Amino acid sequence: MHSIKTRFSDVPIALVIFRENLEDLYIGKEKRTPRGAEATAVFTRAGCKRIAEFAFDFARCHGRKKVTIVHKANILKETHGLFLKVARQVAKRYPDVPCEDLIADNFMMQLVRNPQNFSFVLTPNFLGDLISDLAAGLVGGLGIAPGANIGKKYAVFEAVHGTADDIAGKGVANPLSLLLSACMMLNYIGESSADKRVREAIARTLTDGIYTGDVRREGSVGTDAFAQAIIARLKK
Amino acid sequence: MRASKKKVYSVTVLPGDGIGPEVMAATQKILEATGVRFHWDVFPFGKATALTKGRGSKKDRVRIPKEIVDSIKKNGAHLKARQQRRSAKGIEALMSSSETPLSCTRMSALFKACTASKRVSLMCP
Repeated sequence: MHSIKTRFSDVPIALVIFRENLEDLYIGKEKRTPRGAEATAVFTRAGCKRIAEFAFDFARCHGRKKVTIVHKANILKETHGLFLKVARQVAKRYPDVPCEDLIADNFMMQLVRNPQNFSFVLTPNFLGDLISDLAAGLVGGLGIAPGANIGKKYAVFEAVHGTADDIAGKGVANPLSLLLSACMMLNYIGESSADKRVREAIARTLTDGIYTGDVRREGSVGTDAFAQAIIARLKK
Repeated sequence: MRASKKKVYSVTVLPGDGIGPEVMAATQKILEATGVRFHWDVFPFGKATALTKGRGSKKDRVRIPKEIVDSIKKNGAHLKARQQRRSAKGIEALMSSSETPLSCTRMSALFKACTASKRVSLMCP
């Protein structure tokens, strides 16, 4: 968002992270062993294929910019190896969408150095968790980064930040993460013009120098005043 | 505007814990100001309302109450702020359940049809 100052304010960053969200290390299969502890990561062909197809379909519908497959298949040969193999197979069916694959550590370094080189990132669950926070940091923090979980029949739109108990109840939280998630919901349900109007109102609000304390402390306003300012700038 | 003829969208709302209720209230207010009509199905869900939380790896999760799952099934769209959670297993199961499989291609086609701005970016430049 151009009016939010970050270390990368002069760099045009537009990133969409496609993160598999049902498998990998996050299935909750952990156990203690006599020597310590173990966790199980599950990768299914169907799960890998589903997120890869979604990412390439999305890329095709949104400007055919490059899809970067991010993995750690050099070490995790079976699990991430499968993810990479399936993603490459899917990529072959989308010859019109440019595609590359990068090992996660190398990708992370490049993302920080040249974030403008990336658009669509396709990655497994655990890596996606790390990458999405890093990406949020590039554009101004978790307070403004939206998230969506898209299933076959249901979709959950959520703020990516935590409960922030230290500022809870003080009326100073930035609602943008949830509001931008809600914008994605407007789009999802077919109200794309409302989505566009809200986004424009947000941009105007920020350009007019109205922001919450996480953006900049001096001159900041509370959650309600910020919301009212956005409402006042909504074009009917 | 012929408000009476406009579609009303039913959305499941989980304001959650911490700053969740504050940012949810602000977001709902702004959404309503767009003129799109919503029916909010609000459920308390978070630390205070966790149903089961047992010991051991399998039970050490917050279960999602059945009425929330039913509401999501009914509404399809679901707006969630934060709850202090272990793992939202119910929603995951719900999302992966495929009674009437809608292929990813069709899902994305839906996006395409819905997207006038041509870009739904997770991170805004």
